[in-house]
Parts: sequence; structure tokens; C-alpha cells
Amino acid sequence: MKLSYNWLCEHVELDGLTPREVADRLTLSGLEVEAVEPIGVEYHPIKVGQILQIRSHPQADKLVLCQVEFGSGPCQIVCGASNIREGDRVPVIPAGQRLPDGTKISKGKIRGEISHGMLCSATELALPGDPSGIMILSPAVPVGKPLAEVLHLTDTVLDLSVTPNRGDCLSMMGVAREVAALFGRPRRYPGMLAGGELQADKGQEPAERHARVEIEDVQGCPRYAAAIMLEVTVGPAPDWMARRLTAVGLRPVNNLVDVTNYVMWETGQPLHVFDLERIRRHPAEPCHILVRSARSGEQMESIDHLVRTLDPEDLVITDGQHPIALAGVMGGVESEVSESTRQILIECAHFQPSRIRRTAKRLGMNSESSYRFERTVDIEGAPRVLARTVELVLQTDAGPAGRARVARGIVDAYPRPWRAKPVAMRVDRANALLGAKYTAEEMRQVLEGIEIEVVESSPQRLVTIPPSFRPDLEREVDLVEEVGRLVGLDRIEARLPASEMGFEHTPREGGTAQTVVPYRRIEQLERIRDRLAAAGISEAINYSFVSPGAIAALGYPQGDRHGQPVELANPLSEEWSVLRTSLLPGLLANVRHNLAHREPTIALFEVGAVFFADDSAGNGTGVREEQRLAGVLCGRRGTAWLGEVRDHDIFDLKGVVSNLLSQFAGDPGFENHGGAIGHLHPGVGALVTLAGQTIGVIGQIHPLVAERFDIASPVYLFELELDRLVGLGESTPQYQPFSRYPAATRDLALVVDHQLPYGEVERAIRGFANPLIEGFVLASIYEGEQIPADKKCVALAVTYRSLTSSLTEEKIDGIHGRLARFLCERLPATFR
Amino acid sequence: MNDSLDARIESLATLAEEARKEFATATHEEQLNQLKARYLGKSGSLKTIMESLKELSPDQRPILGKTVNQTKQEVLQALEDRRVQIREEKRRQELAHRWIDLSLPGRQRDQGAIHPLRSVTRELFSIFRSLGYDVAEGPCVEDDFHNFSALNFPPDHPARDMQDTLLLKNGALLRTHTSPVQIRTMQANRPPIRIIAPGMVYRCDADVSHSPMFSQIEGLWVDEKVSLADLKGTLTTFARRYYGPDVPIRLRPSFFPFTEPSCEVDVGCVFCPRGGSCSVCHDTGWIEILGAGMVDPNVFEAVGYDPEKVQGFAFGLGIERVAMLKYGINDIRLLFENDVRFLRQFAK
Repeated sequence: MKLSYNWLCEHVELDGLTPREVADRLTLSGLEVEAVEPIGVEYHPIKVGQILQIRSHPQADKLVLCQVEFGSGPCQIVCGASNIREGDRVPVIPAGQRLPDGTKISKGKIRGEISHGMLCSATELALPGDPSGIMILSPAVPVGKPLAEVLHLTDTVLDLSVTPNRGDCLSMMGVAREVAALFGRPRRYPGMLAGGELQADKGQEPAERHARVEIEDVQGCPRYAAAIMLEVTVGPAPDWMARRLTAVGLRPVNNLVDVTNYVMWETGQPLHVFDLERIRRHPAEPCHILVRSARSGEQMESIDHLVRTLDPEDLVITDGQHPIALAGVMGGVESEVSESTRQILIECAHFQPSRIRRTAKRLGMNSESSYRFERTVDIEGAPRVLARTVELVLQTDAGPAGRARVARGIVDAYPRPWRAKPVAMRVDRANALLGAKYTAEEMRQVLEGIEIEVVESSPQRLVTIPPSFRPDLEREVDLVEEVGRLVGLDRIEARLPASEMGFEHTPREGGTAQTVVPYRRIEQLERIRDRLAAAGISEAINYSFVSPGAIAALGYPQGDRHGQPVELANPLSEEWSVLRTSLLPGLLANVRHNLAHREPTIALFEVGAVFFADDSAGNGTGVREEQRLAGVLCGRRGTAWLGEVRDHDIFDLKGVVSNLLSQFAGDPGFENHGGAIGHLHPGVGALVTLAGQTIGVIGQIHPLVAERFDIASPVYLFELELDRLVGLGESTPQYQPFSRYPAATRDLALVVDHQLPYGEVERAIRGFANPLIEGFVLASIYEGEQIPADKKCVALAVTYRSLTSSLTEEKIDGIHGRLARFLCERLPATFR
Repeated sequence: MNDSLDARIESLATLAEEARKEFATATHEEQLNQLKARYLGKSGSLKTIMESLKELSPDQRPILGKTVNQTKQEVLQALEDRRVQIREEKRRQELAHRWIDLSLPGRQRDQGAIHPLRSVTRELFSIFRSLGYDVAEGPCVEDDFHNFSALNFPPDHPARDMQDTLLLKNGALLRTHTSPVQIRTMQANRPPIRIIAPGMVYRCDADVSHSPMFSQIEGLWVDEKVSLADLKGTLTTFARRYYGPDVPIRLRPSFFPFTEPSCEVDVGCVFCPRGGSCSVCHDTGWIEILGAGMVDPNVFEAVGYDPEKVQGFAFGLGIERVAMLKYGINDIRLLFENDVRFLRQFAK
């Protein structure tokens, strides 16, 4: 809410304070001031001048020479206007300065006569008024003073961000109350806001003679009050009012609309004015205001000229039969005031916040009025607000003085009057929550400062009556908060909570699923991330939602839960309309994105949740969440300088995954999937097992799937079930003694069947189980000219070493020969 | 005869002196070898003097013999010293012609990056774990109770609208904050509670400064006497450890349904340039980084804790904001686009 500082000064005495000081203090007490903006600075150069003498211009008939005093001695100004007289006080802009629109006034000669400035018209100053001549000011304004000061053109606008619980601060009175309490300044009450009876003329008919109010939906509308005015004349509002409304961001319309906005800003109470003659069904009878729920399908044309179809959720004001306004949201066209309006009904009501909010939201009709009703207005304020409104309508009436009249009293349907509810606060409880040592007396003063009545007070306990404009104060803790914020959170000392070492959470008997994550698991996850990053793979984070097409593109078989994602009811777009069942759609989209930017190397991993519909998930949401770890490699790797640049291949990926798995207990296995995983290349992919459990897959993305993601390059990927992985436990290295004797290496070249997996060769060597074999490494796999077409040559280097002695050449050759023969038989294989 | 001995000894000294001088002028090992032959060889100078031994009297012979041997040793030593000098000089000259341009790049292994959001989360983990907090996690898909009702959101609170919350067709919702983890943790454990809960949260919002998914970290400390002063101390410690030892914090009263009193927490701006205007704090000197407050009694009641017996504080912080400020990132969408050119910048 925007707030004019000048206006605020009418509601609280602020002498000696600056807008910035007030803003800072408000911010620290919970009313955040987002901006402090001076307005009217463009008027600073304009001064009040007095015309001492007017002479005709010797060279021009239409110009005159004026001697003008504006603070620094009389000087000559050439002027072309005809409405000025000697003695007039007028706005003057000295030469060398700029007009509010930026035009620079330079010193110079006009038809041979020097001119030291310019006398200004209202239009030149962008002020309302007669555009044809120079603006004539009141003879009372002091000569030489800045015009901005005498016309109150400068102001400071504070932009407040009011939290939803503080509807009372959406008004000058509310903010003034806070400021008065914070600075210990007296409040001021302009006009009828000080209290008192409606200014009705004696002898006028009572308001009831003109209007009868009936509330059908008491829950929706606990109070409906109205004042009646007759013989009003609609016209523009006075400048001072228009200027204030403009400063706070409202557009001046006419005196009736402007007064209701003005009073809304002053009091926080939204008002509505009906043209009484247009809502009276029979000219001789009082109008019948009936507040009720809208009937299904009922229609009304609102003042923005849209025909609204209503819903029983909506609350309407009717003329007894048809809706004439959407309560608290917007008026109807038929009862709208116009230039010709003579009789008015001023509505001052209280509506149920949730009803207003729903209607405003459903119809997309958020307004200053609905904004305030949603945050509740002061239900007790109606008589005072109506008195103030009537006062200002009379003041701003455009007709001859004394013509506008006011009906006696107000009509006020208030079936369930507000009742004060005492709220008690224990002093020690308040101090325990705040970590403070305030006395009961300090607390009492603070609460009374914001007009909370303290009806009972002891050193242990205060009993208060929160006022009707603070419906948010219902509980002890609400008062504690008021004490905390008004004394100032800066006065709370900072200290660390006392706690014992080695604290651990204690599960409740019959408690729900544990949320506390074991220390180990966090360490493991971070280590996984570090290892992947060290392998040159960067961490990605993708949205949890994907497009149904991306899931379908992976081609999960019928009945696979991965192919049946959980759907969003209100997705932001089709692209984000289902929850992911795999991390791959996100990562593949990232590959596509980076390829499109000609990125030569793409290596990404992601840790995140995937989602499946599962009513047995046990968390009450019908959705099971599982943690996954996935990665993709695509494009080139390595550097040309001192190295080798080549394309990523499946063995890069397998190396990464093997390295990753080495920190967990158990030997990893990679078994060719044989086409079982639909989104993997039928010949390049494997199921990954660890400790006998399948924990995921590695492989090349199926080229057809890649095409569906617009990816032409091979992409190598892994996707692991993280929950199973970290559930397995870590591998702890166990020391093995090593030999002090020299090792000997022998090469072994085996020609085996082309289809024989290398893993069989490894298994066979292990099966030979000779303790003198220290290890073996694969050197190469050769297929080609020197080998039959259906064979391949596996070249290995076997290392022999004894723990207890140096081995002789003969002994080594003997074992190696037996190993070779063993393998030839077992695999089978031949030597090369 | 004595003259003869003295003269010979004298000539030996001269010879040694000459030899040293000649060695010094030699620049190659071959020259040295020739000189060695000349002085020490079979027909060398020393040999000649040695052969004249028999001309001396028997009592003089050992004297001259000893001197000849000494001289021989001296000359040999001088020769070897010079030989080492020549060799080292030769090596030096060879080495002087070999150099490697170390402005050339070193051999680098590809280095991947931890996502900046994760890096920040890790830093926060380590600060709060050192203060004795456990890490807790809850589901991303939540129900109305955990996300709203238990957190004291009134039934018609605007946040419950489809406008703000992403709903699933089965009636569940994507959590709008990490606060439901407070509820789940208190439902699962007896007080005291001391957790931080990181996680992804979701809202119906997508533009330069809003992402439909973003990450928060939530803190909760519940015990018998935990107060607002303890909250202030905790967050002060956090700010000092994260932003620097002299960085202050300030609490501004605010409003959240699940805490009362509630506050926004600002930390002293650490980004203000010297003598210029600051685009981060807009010259206020403060940057808002988290929301906090004392757990509302209604929240305790919702999880079956007695609000007369326990009290505590909660705080929540947006990881994106912290990361964006820290790394100077100006568009939140970059964090979820996974552009390699973006991520690579964090591989440090």
C-alpha cells in the first residue's frame, strides 16, 4: 500500500522526524517499507512572485514588461498573458531553471527587452486549473516562497508491504496508530474521524425513510450500514484530494468516487455509492437493500461493462430482486453514479473475507476494495466512517453551497454485534518465548500504545481486550508477538541454545516413518558426487516434472510402472505435466540442449527423486518416491595437447560406474541385457548387479529412442537405484600381505570363440586358482586378418610371484604352460 | 750430491706447478689424456726423474722416492679435478641448450562440477551439523495435512489455491515448502528435535526470478526452553560462519502461519562495493535471506506435542537466493537448464 507522508502527518504528529526515519522504524516493527520516494521535486525551482508593475512592450503589442519580485529584488520579465494585474501573486520560474516538463527557461531578450524568467500558467506547471492565462495565486501566499511549499506539491510516498494478518494497517489510521506507538507521538483525527454524529440537517427525514436493509446471508455479511444524501452535485474533486489520491496511485474520477477512495485510504473501510433513484423500485417507497448469496446462473453487468455470471459462492447486494453489486468486489452498471446523480446511498459494510477472496479470484476482479475485505475491516467502525464520508461529500459537492442534504441517521443492519473477547498473557510465558526479561508493566505500556485495552494487570499476568480492528489477536502468543515486535527484536539478546553433546533423536512410540537421515548416508551421497565430478562429470538438476511424451519416448513395456507417470492436475504446461519416473528424460533433454549449442563434450549426472503411483506407499499421498542416480556421456573427451581426443565410449562409462561401485560392499556384475531394457541399444547394455541384487543399468541409449529426443550422437548412460545402493553398506579395505620377492610376467594370447564374453576368460583364470598367480591384466582383444572370422584373440599379461621365495624361470614357465592348457580346455581356446 | 737431491726436488715442484697450469688450459678430456701421458706416462717427466734415482746415494733415494710419489699423487689429483671440471662444464653447455616452455598448458584431466545449489547446501550442512543438527528428509509429494493444515494454514488461505500450488490428479500436491518435514519429523520423534531439512519445493510460477521448482532448507529446534534469543544466536552464528566473522544479522517482524512471533532475517550486505552503490542491497546495507520464528502452538498441537511443555524455533531459507548472490547468477532458470557452459564454471 502506498502512503503519503503529508497525509500521514494529518493523522499523527511527526514534527522533527524524517520520512526515512519513520520508514526504518516501521520496517523494524513489522510493517516493511519497500520504497521511500519523494514526489514533486520538479517544482523546486518555481517561486511565488508578485507583479509590482506592468508596462507595455515598446516593440510588441501583445507583450508586456512586468517588474516582478520573487525573493531577490525586482527584475523584469516579459509576458504575453492578458489576465495579470499589478499586485497579483503568480508562479515564477527564474531564468536558467527547468519547468516540471523539463523545458529549460533561458535568460534572454524578447523583441529587444531582457527577461529574467517566466510567469507560469497552470498548464505549464502540469497543474489543474485555467489553461488560458497565468496562474493567479491567493494574495495570502508569501512572496519568494517555493510554490511547492505553499501549494503542498511535494510529498514523500512510502510503499508499504503489509503482511496478510495486518489488514488494520491498510489505512492511514492504522499506520498512524503504529507510528504513534513507536515514536510516542500523539495521534490526530481529521474531521469527523474524531467522533460525533452524522452531520444531518435538522428536519430531514430519517435515513430509514429512504432505504431498508435486509441481510439474508448473515454469515456472509455480518453488518450492512448506509447513509443517504440528497441533492448532491457530481463534479471534480478538489485539487488537494486529487493530488493525494494520485500520490498513492489512485486515479481521480469525480467527487463521489474520490471521497469513497479517500475515506478507504484513511480508515481501511471500502465504501460503495449507489445512485439511490436507480435502485428504488417504487419512487415513493424506500429502496430495499437485500444482501444474499447469488443464485446459480444469475447475471449482472459490472461497472467495467462485462456481464458476470454468478455463483452461489458469490455474495450480492440486490435491490430486493436483482443484483446491483457484487459485495465487496465491484458495483453494477445499473446502479452506478453518474454526472446526473442527485440522490445517493453510501454503503459501509462488513463481508466475510473468504467469500470475497473466492469471488474476486474466480472472476479475476481484484481491487483495492476486495484486497481490504479479504484481510478483514473494522466491523465497529461503520458509524464513524459514514460520518467522515458524508462530511467529505458535503465539502466536495459541486453544487451551490447548502443545496446538498443529508438524511437523518444511518440505516444499520448489524444482526450479530461484535463482542470483545478477553485474551490473557502470562508474563513468564512471554519472556520464555522471547528469551527476554520484560516486566508486566513494560508489556502493559507497549500493548496500550497500540490501543489494546489492558483490563487486568498483575506482575504475573495481563488480561487484555483486543480492539475490534485487531481480529488477529486471539491467543496469548499473538500478544507475545506484539510485545516482541514493539519493544523491538533488536533488543532480544543473541545466545546459543544449551544442548548436550552426542544428541540423537528418539523415535516416538507408534510414530510415523523416520525422516532423520543416517549420518552415513549423507557421507556416501557426497562421496558419490565427488567421485563423479572427479571423473569429469558435472551435476545436473532437472525439474521433477516432464512431458508425457518424454516418458513415452523411452518405450517402457506395457504394464511397466515407469511408463505410467503420476499426472499433475494443474500443470504449468504440457511439458511439465507428469512426474518423472526416471532421470533419463531430463538428462537426455540436457544432452539435446547442449548438442544444439555445439558443445563438444557432454558429461552429466543427477541425483534425484522419481515418482510412482502406489497406494501402499504408506505416506498418505498415494505416491512412492525413490531416489535415483543417473548419468550420461556424449561427444568427445580428452585434449589434443599431449593427449588424445576421441569420442566417449561405453567403456568410459563402465569405468566410471565400476569406480563408483567399488566403495560399496560386494563385487559388481555387468550382464548383457540382451534387449530386455527397451531404451538401451540391444547390443550395448547391461544390468548392473551388486551383492546379488540388480541395482540398475548401463549402456548406450537405443538409437531409435535417441532420435525421439532429437539426438543423433551416441549417448552412454547409467541409471542406478540409489536406495538399494546405499542400503548395501560400504566396502572396508582389508589389508593383504604382499611379497618381497620379484615378480615375473608372461603373456598369454588365447584365440576364443567370437561370442565368448571376456568375463568367462576372467572366471576361468580365477578357476585355475594357483596361489602363485598374483594377477593378470587384459592387454588387447584382436579380431582381424590373422584370426578366423568367428574368433577373437584375447591377449593377457599374467604376473607370477611367491610370498615366500624367488621363483625360477622353469617354475614360472611350468605354471604358465599349465594355465594355458587349462584355459584351452575350459573355454575352449587355442594358442596363438 | 746434496745439491743434486735438492735440485731434483726443486724440479719436481716445478714440474707439478707446470702440470697444474697445463691442466687448467686443457678444454677437452683428450687433451688431459695427452698431458697425463706426458707427465705420468712410461716416458713421462716423472718417470725420467724417477729413473735418475739410482744416481743418488742410497740414503737419499728414499727421500727422493717419497717426494716423487707425493708429486705423482698431486699431479694425478689435479688431473682428476680438472677432468671433473671439464665434464661438468660440458654437461652444463649441453643442458643450456635444452629448455621446456612452461607457459604451455599442463596435462589436465576433465573435471566435473558439483551443482552450485548442491555446493551451497553442503556448506550449510556443515555449519548446522557442527551445531548439532541432524539432516531430515521428507517426500516431495505431500498431502494437505502436512503441507498446510498442520502448519496452521487456515482452510481458505490463498496458498492453498490452484493458483499457487501444483496439485496431482489423485488429490495430493507437490509441497510448496520444506516445512512439512517439520511435521513429519515431530510425528516420528519425541522432543527434543534438532533438524535441518533440505529439499525441492514447487510453486505455480515461472519467470526470471521464479522457478516452478526450487530448493529450500528448513531448520527446526524444539526443546523445553528454546526461545527467540536462541534463534537469534543460532542465526548469528550461521551468518558469521557463512558470510564472515563480523557480519551482523537483523530480525524484522513478519508473518508466517506456522510461526509466532515470526520474522524475516537480514544479514549485513557483504556485496557492497567500496564507495559505489550496491545493486544487491540497494544501499540498505542489508540483504534478506531467510524467514524464521517461534513454532506456533497450533503446530505443536497438530503433531500431538503439548505447547505448554515444549517450545522451539524454525527457520527456512531459499538455496537459490543464497547461491545466486554468492555466484552472481542473475537468472534462476540457469540453475535448471544444465547448460555445460554454465556448470563448467563451477568445476573449481
